[in-house]
Amino acid sequence: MQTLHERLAELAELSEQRPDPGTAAAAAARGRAYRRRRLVGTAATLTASAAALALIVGISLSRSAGDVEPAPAGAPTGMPRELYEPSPWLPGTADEPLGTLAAIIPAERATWTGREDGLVGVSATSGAYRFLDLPGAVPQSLDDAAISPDGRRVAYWTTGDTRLSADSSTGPVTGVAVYDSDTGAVVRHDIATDHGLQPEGLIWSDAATLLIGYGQQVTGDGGPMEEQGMSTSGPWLSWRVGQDGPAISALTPGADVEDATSGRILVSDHPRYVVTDGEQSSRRVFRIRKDLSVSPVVDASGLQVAVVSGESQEPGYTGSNPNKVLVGRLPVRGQGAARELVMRELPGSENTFDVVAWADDEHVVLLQAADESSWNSPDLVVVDVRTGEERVLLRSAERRTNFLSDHYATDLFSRAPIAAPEPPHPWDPRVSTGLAAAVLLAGAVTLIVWRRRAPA
Amino acid sequence: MPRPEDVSFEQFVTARRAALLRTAYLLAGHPDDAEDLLQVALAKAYPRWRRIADRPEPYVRRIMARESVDRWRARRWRETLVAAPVEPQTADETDVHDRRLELAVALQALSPRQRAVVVLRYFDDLTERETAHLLGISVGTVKSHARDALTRLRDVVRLEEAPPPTV
Repeated sequence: MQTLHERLAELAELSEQRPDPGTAAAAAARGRAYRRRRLVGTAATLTASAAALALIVGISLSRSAGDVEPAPAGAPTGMPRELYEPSPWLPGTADEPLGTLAAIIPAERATWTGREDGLVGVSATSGAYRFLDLPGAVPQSLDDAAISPDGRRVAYWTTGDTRLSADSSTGPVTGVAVYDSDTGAVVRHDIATDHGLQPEGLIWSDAATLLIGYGQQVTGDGGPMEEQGMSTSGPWLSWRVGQDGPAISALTPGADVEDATSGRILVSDHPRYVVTDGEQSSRRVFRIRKDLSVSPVVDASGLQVAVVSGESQEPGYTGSNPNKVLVGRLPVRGQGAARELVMRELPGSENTFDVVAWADDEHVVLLQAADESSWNSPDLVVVDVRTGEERVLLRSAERRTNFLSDHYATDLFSRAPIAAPEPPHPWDPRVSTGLAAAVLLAGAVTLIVWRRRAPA
Repeated sequence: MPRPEDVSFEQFVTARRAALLRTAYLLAGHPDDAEDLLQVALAKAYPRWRRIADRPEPYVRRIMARESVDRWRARRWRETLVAAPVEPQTADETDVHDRRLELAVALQALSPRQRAVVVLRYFDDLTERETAHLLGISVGTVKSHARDALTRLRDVVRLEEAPPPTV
């Protein structure tokens, strides 16, 4: 009996029965051809991968192209002629503030891990769009952020610690901050609170004075269900930004502040309206006959008001807009009994959604559609209240009623517009990175498999 | 004028062809397949010749072993080609012929990897570790393949118990 080795050797002897067909020369020739094929295949795979990567990078760069850099300080400021839907992948301001802003636009901001509420600033000098990096901001309250009339400051609600259990559904909101768009500096003011604040309003009464209205949440997350979301009225604070901290204003706690401009504050006290100042040193009281669903807007002198009035003509909507604009003059001395204003219709003001602000004593800025077919894309127009003559100030404005002025630097309404290109719409970097990784992986796998399996 | 590496390559093939072909024959089971297997292994070794010229044989054997498993796996064992040994002329030759045929059939019945393990372990006398390295599998897999293959071979082939090669 033989061992397995002996049996295998005996079988293997059969391989010696044939003469050598020239194995050495044939194998060398085959090896040379094999090496050539490997080189060509490798080069082809690398070239294809490089071309695919170049295509991805090219598309990615072209989508990001057209970004406008912030203009140098001192450049002329104005409103852009058109506002665009911002891309969620726009860059942030980080350490490079935009300078004076023309507008702020609440928008979704995308990150590698998800999306969150953000606030886009539009430069009043270059028209550049950037997400404002606002430290401590409460994302769900960014809609309530307010830009100062000169476009240099943005006020927003901040979050922080509460003394007791927090009402997390609202942030919790624990203070307010002001972002300086020229320097990027942020001044914060925390407000002591047990469960969090209920934001009532951030209203600039002039370029440096911020009115802060808020209530106190009654309970936090662990409180009784029936008390969830309830709040008590708080005082209105007046903050002279850059000087002292906020101080309690003379306004009644919980007062319904409708508008403010040049130090004049319009307070609603249904059915009356009161035009006053932060100290309540002067008061003009008036009534408007119509039942209004939007706020009147006073001019800088506090003597004129404009408001959209009437029944809405838009199907499915209640309220007074879109409709005509009424303009009225307040009594010079109006303290005491509320006078009903004599209002006149502004010619050609049909399809107006709201009055944004007074540009000066003779011009009012309206959010207005050209006709019924463009109700969903209204423009900002400047109208001469004496003649009704109008010109378009800004196309594709945000359709929103009440407190429109807090999203536009209203001082710029009277200046010449600036040229501002459409902002870039960068590609989702996860897509481009994923595609690039997939190309590299596919190239590597193809190369490895092909080099391993390539027939010799 | 041939390049030095070509000369070295051809010298190696001339010197080691017979030994390599024996292994190839056991792996492939047919003289034509064995010759082709050897040529493919040599052709694939050729582009790396400068790097392996000092000790080319393990590399060539590794390609040969893996190639034999891959090509048989690709064929999915559909082909059971067994070259019948040359017809015997004498009684002694008849015995040898029968033994060869018996073993050839038994080897073909093994899986490609089991056959490669048997050839490398019990013909080339490689250790389990060397066999595992050549085939790109673990030592444990080599052990289990060897155990299963020997069990199946002993069912049809009478073998003398011999101590296995050193691990």
